[in-house]
Amino acid sequence: MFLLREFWNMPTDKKAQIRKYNNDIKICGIGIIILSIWSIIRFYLTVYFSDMTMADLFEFPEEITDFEVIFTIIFFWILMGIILLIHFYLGISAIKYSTGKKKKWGFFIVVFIFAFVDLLSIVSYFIPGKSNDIDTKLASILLDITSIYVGFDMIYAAIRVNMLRKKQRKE
Amino acid sequence: MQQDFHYYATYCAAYLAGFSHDECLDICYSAEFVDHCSKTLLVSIGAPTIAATTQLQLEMMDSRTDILGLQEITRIWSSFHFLPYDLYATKKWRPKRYMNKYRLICKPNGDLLKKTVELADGKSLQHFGIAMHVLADTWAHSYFAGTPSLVINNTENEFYELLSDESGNISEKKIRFKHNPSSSDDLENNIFNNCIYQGNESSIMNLGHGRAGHLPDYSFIKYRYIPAWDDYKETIKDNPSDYYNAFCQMVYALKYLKDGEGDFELSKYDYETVAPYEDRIKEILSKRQLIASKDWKNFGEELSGEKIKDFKREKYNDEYAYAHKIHKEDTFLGKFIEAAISQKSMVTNEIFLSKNYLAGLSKSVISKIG
Repeated sequence: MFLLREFWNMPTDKKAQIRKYNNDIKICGIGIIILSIWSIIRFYLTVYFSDMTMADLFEFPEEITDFEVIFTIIFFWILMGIILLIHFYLGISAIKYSTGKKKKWGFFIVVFIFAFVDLLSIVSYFIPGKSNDIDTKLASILLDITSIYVGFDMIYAAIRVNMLRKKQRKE
Repeated sequence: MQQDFHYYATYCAAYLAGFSHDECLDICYSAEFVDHCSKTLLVSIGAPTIAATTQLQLEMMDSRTDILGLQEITRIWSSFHFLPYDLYATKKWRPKRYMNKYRLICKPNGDLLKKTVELADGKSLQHFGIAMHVLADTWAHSYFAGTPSLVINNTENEFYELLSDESGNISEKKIRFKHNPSSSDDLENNIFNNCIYQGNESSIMNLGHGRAGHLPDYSFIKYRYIPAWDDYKETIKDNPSDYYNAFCQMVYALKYLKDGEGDFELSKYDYETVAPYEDRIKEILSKRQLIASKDWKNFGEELSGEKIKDFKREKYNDEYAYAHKIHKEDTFLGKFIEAAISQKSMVTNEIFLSKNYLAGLSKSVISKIG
């Protein structure tokens, strides 16, 4: 627990609220890490267990060379790795922020961007496409909604913590 | 609480309440025996297992965590070690399933404590001893429940010991926990044992004060922590003060049981009788040690001028085991067993009547239906 002098001078109920919101940030941080790992696993399972190949997924044109295919796939996995690492960074930053070990809050902007992009991507589920598996779509939508909720909940909790602390400083 | 309080301190309280040395020994033996009367022991002497007042670690490891197993666990621990404070407590925005467990939280001076003491009125010394054990534990085990529940008995990892110096300034020292039950607590470095976090709601690891380790049982320690049930609010546990109140309340309760007059009143403490020994008792309570048996024993022997025999769990086993069937209830353990069944039945019945099925049905309820 981050022990600010102002924290210890706060009324009990305000301290309890700050603890609650810090706990929310921490749980959302853990959620971001878990959901990002799950996204990788989900993609891997989609490719491994379905009839589709990587080529089908990327919809390569027929005239593409083998080198380009391999390069695309490798680049894709590197990109997935980078996104995973970014999510890890965001999650760990949130955990550190909630325990007072990190003061910089810039990572919340990245969280907001990711959550907002996820929100926009929900629309794509309703665009008629090749895949009409309702159960798969439903599962994916639920997970994406969870991911959006986790992101925005974390930001809301961070705003509330800052508001409470500012209010205490004024008093 | 530990043997130092349940055995030796109860002896002292009984003596101050006016009981003779032998009566004090019977009372304090019974109070301590509550922590030893397991199913295993009862089976070994051919006694009814329904009278179990505690569970061994091995018994708990083998116990089921389905509804029947949980009811059995709750019956034992809520009846003798975590007496519920308010079976009709309310809390906003909580489902019935949560409230059933919330209402089992133990605190001193609840209605059930009054019923416990009044149930012992006019009964055997063994029953007095059981009542004193229950009374003392309501102070030590406050804010925990005698049912396996993560949402009630879990705590944050942040425990801080509150230390005050001679000039009254309070400082804090972080308490660190380890999970090695074979090693004892390190008082010097503030490293204590506790149960590891278990995410399963009904895991046996979430029974009682496991997450706080032995902290509630040390009379010297004052600490603050955050329990799961209190919505992120902090709780300060002042054991020296609580234990002193427990002692004074025991003296009052034992005087009531001895005289048998009037009603037992809650939140009443016999400070007057204890006053001449206040400094001595507070010195024992605040001494930083794992167990204060020696100090309490010395105090008790000074009070009565008699030797206090050390507690021996098997002391009355043979008497019960070899007694004829019709004479078993007249033996020491026979009276203890009768008192234990009575106490358990009363508490289980009260929990059931509050429409909480966590402790199951009690015999008195079943007999009414029959």
